[in-house]
Amino acid sequence: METEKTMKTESGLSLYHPLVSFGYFVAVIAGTLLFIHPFFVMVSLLCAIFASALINGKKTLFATLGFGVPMFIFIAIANPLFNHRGATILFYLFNNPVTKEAIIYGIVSAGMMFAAVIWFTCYNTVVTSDKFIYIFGRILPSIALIVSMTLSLIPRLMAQIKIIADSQRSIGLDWKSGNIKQRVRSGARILSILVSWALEDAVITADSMRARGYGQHKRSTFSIFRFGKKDAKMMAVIVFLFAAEIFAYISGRGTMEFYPAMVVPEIDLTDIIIYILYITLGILPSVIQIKEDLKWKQLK
Amino acid sequence: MEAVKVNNFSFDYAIGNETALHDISFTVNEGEFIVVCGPSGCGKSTLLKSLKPQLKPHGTTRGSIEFYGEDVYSLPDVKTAGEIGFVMQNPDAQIVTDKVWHELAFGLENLGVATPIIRSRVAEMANYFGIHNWFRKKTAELSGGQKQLLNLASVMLMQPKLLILDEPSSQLDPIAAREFLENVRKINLELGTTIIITEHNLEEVYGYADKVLLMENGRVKRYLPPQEMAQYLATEEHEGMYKALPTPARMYGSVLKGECPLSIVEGRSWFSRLVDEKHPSSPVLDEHERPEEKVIDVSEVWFQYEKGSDPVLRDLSLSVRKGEICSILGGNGAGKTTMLSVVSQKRRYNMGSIKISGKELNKYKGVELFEQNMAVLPQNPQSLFVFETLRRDLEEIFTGKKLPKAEVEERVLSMAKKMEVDSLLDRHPYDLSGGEMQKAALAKILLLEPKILLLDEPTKGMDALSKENMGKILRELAAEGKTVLMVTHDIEFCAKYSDHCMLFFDGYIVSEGSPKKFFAENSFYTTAASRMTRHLVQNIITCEEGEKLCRSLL
Repeated sequence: METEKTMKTESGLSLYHPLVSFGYFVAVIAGTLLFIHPFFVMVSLLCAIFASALINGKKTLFATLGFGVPMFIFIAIANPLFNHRGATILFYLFNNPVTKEAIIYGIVSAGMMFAAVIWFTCYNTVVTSDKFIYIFGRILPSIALIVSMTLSLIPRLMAQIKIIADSQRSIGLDWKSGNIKQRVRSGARILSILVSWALEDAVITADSMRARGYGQHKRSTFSIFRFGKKDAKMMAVIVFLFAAEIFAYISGRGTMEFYPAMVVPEIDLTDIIIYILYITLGILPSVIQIKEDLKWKQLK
Repeated sequence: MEAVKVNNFSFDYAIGNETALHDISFTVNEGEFIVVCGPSGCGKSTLLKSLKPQLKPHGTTRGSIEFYGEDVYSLPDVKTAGEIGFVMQNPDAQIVTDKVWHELAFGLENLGVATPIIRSRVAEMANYFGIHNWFRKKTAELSGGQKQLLNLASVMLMQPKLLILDEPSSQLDPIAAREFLENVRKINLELGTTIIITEHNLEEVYGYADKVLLMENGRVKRYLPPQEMAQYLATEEHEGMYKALPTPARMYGSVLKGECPLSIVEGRSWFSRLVDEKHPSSPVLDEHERPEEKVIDVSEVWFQYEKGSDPVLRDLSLSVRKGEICSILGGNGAGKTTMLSVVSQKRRYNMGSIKISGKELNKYKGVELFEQNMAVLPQNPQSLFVFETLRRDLEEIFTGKKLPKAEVEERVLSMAKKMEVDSLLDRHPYDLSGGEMQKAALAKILLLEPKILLLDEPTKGMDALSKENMGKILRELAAEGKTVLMVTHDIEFCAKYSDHCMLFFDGYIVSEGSPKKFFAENSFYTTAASRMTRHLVQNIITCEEGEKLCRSLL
């Protein structure tokens, strides 16, 4: 299972520099959240499902859908029940009007949230915690070091808790048995030992840092990531698509009026170009992934 | 070229009026491998830390320490941080960051080195130490040996001219320890880095030394090449240090004839010359009958960590008899520790049966198993101690037992005496040395009056004298009718003190027997004395037997 997972994370968009993959998700999630418009939401949702199938694998996608579809239905139903704005009244439920506009707005905003959730699952797979720390560390290096130290400390403390609990059990003090009072006492003992142990270790860690020159010079920040030509090209594409997105938003093309009555705007050439660019942005990770898969097939 | 020159150096701790180091003088030439040895508390650690300005303890100094001709305390911090490398004992706590690659780069980042330079140096070093296979792993996922190797590599990345190691292998199992020390030697031989190292156990490192520095009560007692030091230790009253020597040197020390051998190969030819034309007879193996009563009876047990994973215990059957010291040997990660945790109810087995004192293990509820029946000495003894003095920690065992205070004190004191920790009762448990803490932990669990003792690697981090004490204590316990089951890598200890040895491999016991029979039959997994003598004399197992044989050949 472990190997399957690492195989998937080390392909497609993941192979690009963290700034590129992070930048991509900023662009696509921003678009998803900004454009409350049936067409844009549909594009984003379909692209997200497709990308998730390729990036996370079917199993994870089904798990996301299992949680997302009920959420989608809930929001889509909840909106017309509680929101009575809109000019076209379809029927009355418990003396409250249910409008066509509220139903459509409910479906669109539910779709928007659903798409955002799926994009976030893709983000989690591609931009792993170390990549995030790296991006973060470029802005705030000292915080990044603290995060890194904390991440090394937590598993160590967990392991120590287990060791302590085991050895306390073997002298007859088990926090899992006995009455509540005894259990609380045993738990408190474990914590007390853990704290002394951790303090002991902290002294050594501090020595180890000082011995390796910490705090004597301005630090540099090393990373294993390299920004290559393919990263630069992809970054340019993403920046261009993101700029188009922002232009669309500012010029008001990505949103539409729902209340009091829906206004379907006229579609001009610029709109069509924007639609095409938005679709391009959405399918970008899938295209990268499929291109890569095809190459592997040819190599076989 | 003199790398380090210590001139009449003395050191007093800021707290406490004891002088820690008296009038120390010695020189270390560039590229030398120096082993510093001496009994616990002789000032080894203080001396090593004084050589690295960033780690110098608080206190006042007299005399001077020169590093390549300059006073080490007036050199710029950035220079000594990089050029004097220091590796400590604790593999876990020395690690600062969460990723292997980040840990490697940490020191160079501190010095503000640019990324491309760090990148190439990290690559070089990872290759040199074979770290490239786990370069992107999390540090928490590494084994103890890998962690310590990472600590070594992280220090080496800063390209130190002098590498100081303070008991670096004492928390590793012997196999990982040997690998680690071989790496230290490789650094010395291939990179010409000057090494100053202390070790509890000299078995491995003694043969690598160019010179050995013997310390006693904060003073330098002798500073000699290893052969001459062996000779000195054999003739003078230095029982503890003598016992720490590798087997070939000790066998030489028992007769002091010819040239002192340091390795098994040298030892074999030295022994051949000693035997010469004489035809010593091999001692006869006397087989003891094992006691009848099975205290731990494991039969056909299977264990997997999770469904579908590789079984760690496959059809394991073994028995430990009443009053026996039974040792289980076997490679790293073979599942020996898992076996102990199955027997002590930490983990549930899938199939088979385990009987403890005649009762099915599954029938023991809650902590019943540990009530005057079984006790486990954990690998990390500090996990047993809660209070600020050892005395309170030992007395704690009796809380809720409604014994008069005088009797509790009496029992604690007699147990402390038995374990030779009575002088340490008012100390903080965390301030004890490795060997002392191990004994204190044993005292604590023995107050529970167990019938069965499970020990996991009981000699880890112990010097020769502590090991001998531990062995004696275990023998006494066995004589009182207690049953001991230990898992260990320490072949010499096992050969000397156990009644029954088993070899654990691939999830079950492949061979077993009395230590004599067991080690005499094994050709690879056997003691140094056996390997040194078996081409001429059979059935020599322990170093003491070897020494006796040598003396009889004079």
